[in-house]
Amino acid sequence: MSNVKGGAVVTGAARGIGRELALGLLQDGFGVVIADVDPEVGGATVDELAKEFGGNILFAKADVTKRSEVADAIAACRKAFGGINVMINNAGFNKPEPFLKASEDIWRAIMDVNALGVLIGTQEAAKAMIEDGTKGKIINTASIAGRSGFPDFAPYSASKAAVISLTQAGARALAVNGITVNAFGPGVVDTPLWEKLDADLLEMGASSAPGEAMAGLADAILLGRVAKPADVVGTVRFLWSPQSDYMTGQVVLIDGGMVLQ
Amino acid sequence: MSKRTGILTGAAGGIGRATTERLVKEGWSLVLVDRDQSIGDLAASIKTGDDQTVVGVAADITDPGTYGAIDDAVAEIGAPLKLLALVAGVLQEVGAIETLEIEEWDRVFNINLRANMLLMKHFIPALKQADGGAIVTVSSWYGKSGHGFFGAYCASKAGLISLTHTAADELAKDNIRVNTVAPGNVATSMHLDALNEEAAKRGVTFEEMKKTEWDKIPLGRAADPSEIADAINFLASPDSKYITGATIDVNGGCLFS
Repeated sequence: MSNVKGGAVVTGAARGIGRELALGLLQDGFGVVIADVDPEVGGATVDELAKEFGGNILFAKADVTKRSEVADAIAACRKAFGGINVMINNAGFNKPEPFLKASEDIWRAIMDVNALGVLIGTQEAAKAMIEDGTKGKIINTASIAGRSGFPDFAPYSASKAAVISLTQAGARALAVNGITVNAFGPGVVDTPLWEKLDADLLEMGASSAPGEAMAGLADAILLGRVAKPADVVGTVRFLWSPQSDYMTGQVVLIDGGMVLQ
Repeated sequence: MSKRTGILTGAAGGIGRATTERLVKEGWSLVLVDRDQSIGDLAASIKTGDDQTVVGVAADITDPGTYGAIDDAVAEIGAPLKLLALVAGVLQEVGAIETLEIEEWDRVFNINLRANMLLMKHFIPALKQADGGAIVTVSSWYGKSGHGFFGAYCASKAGLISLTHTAADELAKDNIRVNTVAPGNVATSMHLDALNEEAAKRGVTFEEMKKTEWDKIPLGRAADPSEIADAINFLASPDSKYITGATIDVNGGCLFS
């Protein structure tokens, strides 16, 4: 077993926010499993992080809608790092469509990954934590879209509201085991998800130039800029640290001042 | 990190003392403000690092005429003002709206809401002069939901959350972030006194009242004051640099909002 202070699994950690969170966990001394559906980018991310963190970082191929793959990623974490202390259900995607054209296929795909994936991840991590007697921390990636619906992101908004509900349900269910469940809600973050979104919105005709949709949203942010993935890490670090031990069922928005709730 | 000053109100109370300890550990120099005259002795008793200063000022935060002494203490420390931690607050005399004395309503609003507006108004120029910083208010889960017999307290804390949002909107351009910590039940003398009073009001014992209240909390206990201090420290630190206008709910799960 490597010399780590505990194990952590981060889903959707091949890139974007998930990758940044994996890095933060490694810096804090955790052993980390990057669980991602994309072995190519995920493997490259692990190779790169392994240069500094050696055997403290592993890859597990996991589609979060497939329970056995999520369970395998958690099992790999327990085997390599002696347990699972932190589970970050971060995998998610968005595909914009104008509200009146929002389709069943996209709805089902988004709800499966973003909402069902969080339920499965929470269940599998909690089962392992309970079995090991670990007072673990489960952290879900919500979004400002879970607090406020966006017309071109109807299924995404609904899926992130579901993440908030699952966070609350999980918190109530698992408090008795000493497991806390919280969420963080990013606003607009400069990640591959948003690059894709910007391109999709351009294609839809919702914007007229590359970068325009994202810049338009930035105008609505009080701090005057979109977030970098690194802006999110400080908050999530607070949520995985003992400093937040009295918090459960809560959502912390990291939006630079957008929804003010 | 270079020397930086924070002002902390309600510094002699349970959350105030824990917050002092936490912020001093992070290297802050502090002006501890409390209406209790013992605050000077309390400040003198705090162990600090070499380049840190902690000064106590006895002041009535509802009276801006007393703020000059706080200004003097900030000047005495001589480092830029980067933090306004507005912890001071009071509970109300427990009672129904039907019998609520307007003097009691005014007392609670004066301290929990009006004073915080006055403090922001007075100290925002210094925060701007320091090229930005953080304002952290301490609201309550009672500010996010109504509770019988606490009409003045709940409304004052709801107002404080709203004031926090407005200040966040106005000050973002000046690089001043404004956020609130909303505690649930915290094991301070204020909470225990309130339980005692409510127990008497409802004709039950203290232990019964405590059990009734704590059983509503998924984590099954009140917070330690240090756990509120941790959240205040987080909002004062660079770890929260992209957060403004937000509420950190440190309530053991007693309210999901």
